[in-house]
Amino acid sequence: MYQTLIHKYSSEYDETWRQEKPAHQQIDRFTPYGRTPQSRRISTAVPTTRGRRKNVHTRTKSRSDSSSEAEDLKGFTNVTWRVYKLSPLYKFSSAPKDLKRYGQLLSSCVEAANQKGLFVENNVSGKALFCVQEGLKKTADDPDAIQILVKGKKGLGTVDTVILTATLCGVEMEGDLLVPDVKGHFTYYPVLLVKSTVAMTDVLITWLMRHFDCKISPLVFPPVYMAWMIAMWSGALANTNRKNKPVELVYQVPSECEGIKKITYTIEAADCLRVWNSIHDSKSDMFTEEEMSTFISSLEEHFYSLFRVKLNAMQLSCVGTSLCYIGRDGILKIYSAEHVSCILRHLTELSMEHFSLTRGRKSTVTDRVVGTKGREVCVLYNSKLEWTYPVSYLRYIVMEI
Amino acid sequence: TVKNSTKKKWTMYKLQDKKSGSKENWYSDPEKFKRKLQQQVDLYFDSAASVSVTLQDGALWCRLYLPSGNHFMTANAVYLIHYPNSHCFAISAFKVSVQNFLFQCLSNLFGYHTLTSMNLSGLQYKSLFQLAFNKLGETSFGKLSDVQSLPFISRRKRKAEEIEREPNLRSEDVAMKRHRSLSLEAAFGEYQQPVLESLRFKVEAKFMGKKNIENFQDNGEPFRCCVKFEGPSVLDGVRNLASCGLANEPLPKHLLRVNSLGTNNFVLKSKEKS
Repeated sequence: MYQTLIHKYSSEYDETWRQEKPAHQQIDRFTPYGRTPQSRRISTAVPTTRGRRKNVHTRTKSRSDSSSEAEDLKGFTNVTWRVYKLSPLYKFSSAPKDLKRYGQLLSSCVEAANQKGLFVENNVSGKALFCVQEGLKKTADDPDAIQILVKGKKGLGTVDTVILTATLCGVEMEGDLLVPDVKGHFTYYPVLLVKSTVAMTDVLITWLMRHFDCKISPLVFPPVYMAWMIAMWSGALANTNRKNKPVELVYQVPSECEGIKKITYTIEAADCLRVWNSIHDSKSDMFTEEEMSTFISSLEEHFYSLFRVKLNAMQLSCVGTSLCYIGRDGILKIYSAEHVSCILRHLTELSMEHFSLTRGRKSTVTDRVVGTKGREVCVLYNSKLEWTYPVSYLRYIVMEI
Repeated sequence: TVKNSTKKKWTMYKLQDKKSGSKENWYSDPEKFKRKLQQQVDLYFDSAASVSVTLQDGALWCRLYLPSGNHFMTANAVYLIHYPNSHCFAISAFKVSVQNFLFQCLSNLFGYHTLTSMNLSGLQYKSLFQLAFNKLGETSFGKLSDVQSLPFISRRKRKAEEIEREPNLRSEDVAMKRHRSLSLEAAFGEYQQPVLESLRFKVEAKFMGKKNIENFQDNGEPFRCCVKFEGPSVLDGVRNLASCGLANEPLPKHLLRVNSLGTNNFVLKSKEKS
């Protein structure tokens, strides 16, 4: 009788709740009190990396001569970039007249932001230019890389300087994640690199998101991603005559341990390569996760033998190799112009993994669009709130669901 | 600079090889010290070079302005701290071009041939002097009681670790924690550690991480690496690494003996190579 009573009250409650709301206001909203699924998949906040990664050659599959390509891409080196990932851009065109129009629109947006007083240095007048960046289109699936420049005068200066440099690109994109039906409407750039002040970067990102109905967020590098990069690139310049920068691992000490903030572990590149060659068969084209974890654990074990400090209990916050320096929060600095393509190729791969994780899942009858958040649509996959998509992308999602 | 001494990076130098025939030139009067220093500076630098000295907290604080060019530049100012009767001094950053002349001035001033870097630098000058003093051992002060009264010796005891005791919870590792606490106190002492912002090790040793590597290419070459610990107080941090369980005891000697070695830049080599 007790159980029957509960069932009766709960059903009455449901009825009452439904009756209170007028029919036109009954929309499905996300609540945490949905039906308990019969099975669960443990999903991490960040997609787990693939168990294997392709070897990153020092020379990529390039149609052009590598030395001239290095000249084209020299502007990417010795500059601290912020890396972002993007969802597909709606109705983006790389035709010259469209790029010119985008430049005019962004210029007026920068001017409007300047008048609102968003910039610390007042009177930042800017003229935006969009152009095609040469040297980054490696395969037929790659979109034309786009360079965005904002030039202007800072403060009371009289000389034009570059206030913002950004690049939209996708290098050696393996396979196309866009179905043919929507390909005509969307252009997918997995990676956005930006070098500018925080305020100007916000202006650019906001403009891109509004104008092309896309979602842009920082591409963060968790420790496992950085461990992969160390394994792949630690001895990349070993066979050249150039001096290798040492391999640098920066560990962040947990805040519970007062007094020490970070531990920097710098290893000579040749010695690091010696350890890597003992683990990995140089003839094989693929790195495995087991090789990567053996490599990192052996370096940490050597550290432990010297200091009896457990580095495996701490998190990697930055790593540096001969090719580049990478920070966990999406900071990137490339040292070698010859390897810009291979680094961007890897970033493209990481960004596309994020995208395919949210897009490639099989949808079920429980999946539904549950509401809107501004211009974004919140979608449930298997009763769990997932990626929020711009409204224009809804068509793509509906086709999937 | 006296109030904002932590804004500058200080490097410690020790005085060695006393000049024969020279008396112990220890000055505790800032005016006398200034006159002597000005005489030396006038010999090696332009007449525009200036010296000012003050006595603060038991130490002589000197500011030397060594001009180069017509314009005033803050980079031309060099600061020096010296405790009377000690065989070391702390100096701020200076241009390489003036080093030889500057050191010659100081060599003549103190009456010692050699001024040697102790590889000890940081922002807290009192901690640096404490470490330098620990390394140099007995000075002209002599007795232990005089040593303890030096103004840069820290007399503050460390805050005791509190092992939380919840009435309804039973901790299984209280004995282990107590044992660890006692061993750390034996290793580090009960007083607060001197404040160092960084601790650097340059290591050339045999590679010890080959437990999981089957075919390690051991060609006899050492595995070269540099390790840097950074933080607001690294010596306390090293102790806390052990107390938090991020490091296992016993800690190696090169971490435990920093206090007495008087430097924060170390070179570790394998015994066969050293």
